[in-house]
Amino acid sequence: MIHFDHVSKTYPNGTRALDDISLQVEKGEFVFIVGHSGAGKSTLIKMLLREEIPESGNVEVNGYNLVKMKRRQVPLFRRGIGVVFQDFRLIPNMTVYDNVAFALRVTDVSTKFIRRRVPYILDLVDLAGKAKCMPQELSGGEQQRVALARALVNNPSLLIADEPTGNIDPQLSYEIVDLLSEINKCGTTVLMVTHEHDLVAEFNKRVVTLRDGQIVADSAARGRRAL
Amino acid sequence: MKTSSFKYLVSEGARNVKANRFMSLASVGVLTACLLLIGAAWLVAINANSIVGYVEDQNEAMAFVEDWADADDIQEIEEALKQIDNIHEVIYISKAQALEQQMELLEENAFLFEEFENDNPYPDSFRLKIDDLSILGETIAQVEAVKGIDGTSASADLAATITDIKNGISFAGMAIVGLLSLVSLVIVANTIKITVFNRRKEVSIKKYVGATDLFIRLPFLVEGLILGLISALVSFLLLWGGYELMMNWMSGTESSWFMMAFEHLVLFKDVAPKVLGAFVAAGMGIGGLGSMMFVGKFLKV
Repeated sequence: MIHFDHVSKTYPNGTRALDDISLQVEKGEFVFIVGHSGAGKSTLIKMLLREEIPESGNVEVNGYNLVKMKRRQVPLFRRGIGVVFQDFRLIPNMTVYDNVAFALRVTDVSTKFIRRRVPYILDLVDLAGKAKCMPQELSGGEQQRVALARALVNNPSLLIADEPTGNIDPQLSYEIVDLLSEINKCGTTVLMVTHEHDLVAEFNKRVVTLRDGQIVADSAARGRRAL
Repeated sequence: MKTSSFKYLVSEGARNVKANRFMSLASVGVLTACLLLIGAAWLVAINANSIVGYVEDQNEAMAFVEDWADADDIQEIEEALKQIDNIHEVIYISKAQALEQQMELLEENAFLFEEFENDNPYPDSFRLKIDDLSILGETIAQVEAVKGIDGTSASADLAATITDIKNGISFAGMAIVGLLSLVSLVIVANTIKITVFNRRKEVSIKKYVGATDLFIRLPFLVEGLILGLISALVSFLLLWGGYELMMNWMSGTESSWFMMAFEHLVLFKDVAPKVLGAFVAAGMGIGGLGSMMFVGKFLKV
């Protein structure tokens, strides 16, 4: 599903964000990416979404070679991936329903399908009653669930969550990761970036640790070790 | 793209006008103000031209006929004069009429000229109304080349002055309209830039979800076109109202100069289609192009 092959990236200001990273994530896996700020987590996510291109090495995600990819292929590639961000990134002047529906509309599906699919997904994340609300009328946890609904509505094979629990209450964080876990059980590959060690400890998953742009630890579920 | 998607994107553009109503209001306000300024400057220029044009119309030249010419010759000369492009009216004045006119001017002293009635010194002549004063010299040369014309009298100085004034007004009007357009373009471009900048987050979110550039641009284009159209209509109505108010005020004044000028002002209904067309084209052009241009900057995510 994800293949990083000796990937390096240096920003114009001289920061070496990723230093010879090689990483394989198979279909159906659940992986935590941990590390301090500046360790290269954000750059890794940007590579996965094809927002950044490595200066050396190769990146393959969901069957696409992101280094060789043309600009006009990017939208199609992104539709196969669901993304959730720390700051939710909902469109402020659209209702909850329209925010979720937007991800479907870009794929040119029929209006009829959208009318059936969106309520179903909103129900899945327990937000059926909030369809007509604006994002700012919701709590942080609810907004994150809207973002999750939007990420899932296209039935992606890969779900990327960038610090999804960073802006919400600790108890709700567990619910979110629980939800991700459930989604993973249905076959979706999940990659979650976090720095909350409690969460990582609570859920027994594969953990990849980044430090100064390098992978310093990669421990499979159960055989996990502390930092 | 499916029809349903296209419909959605167009309705999104319309919805965005309302959803971002403060920025919409600001954009319409700026664009309206600019269009009004340009429109007003243009109206002043064409009116000044129209008044000068009236003065120009009053300008005449005289052409005198040789003594030997008989009635047939005069007929021929008149035809020849009418052939000259820049002359729009030729009025024949016979020897007798010329004397009569002169005697009228002298009023009670007219008897001094009575002895001339049997030996009229005035030549037959033509009064010529000139179209374009700036080429008066060439026209006079053409007139003098006609067989049977003895000489002409035309006020070349006055003609040159009026031509200068007319050219000056045209040039100043064009310069002011051009300058205002340039300033407007900068202001409007900045307003649109701010509007789009405020929504760069929305643009980047749409990119993350996998929207194509066209899918993101189209609502912005529709939004820009709608705002441009609204601005055009508002400024057209304001300009019309303002012009009618000014006309009303002028028609009520006692000043004879104003009265003379008033007679020759351009009526708004005569230029209304032109103004409306220009406003709609400029408003929608600037609105549409501007929003498309600046969205492009944020599409590289």
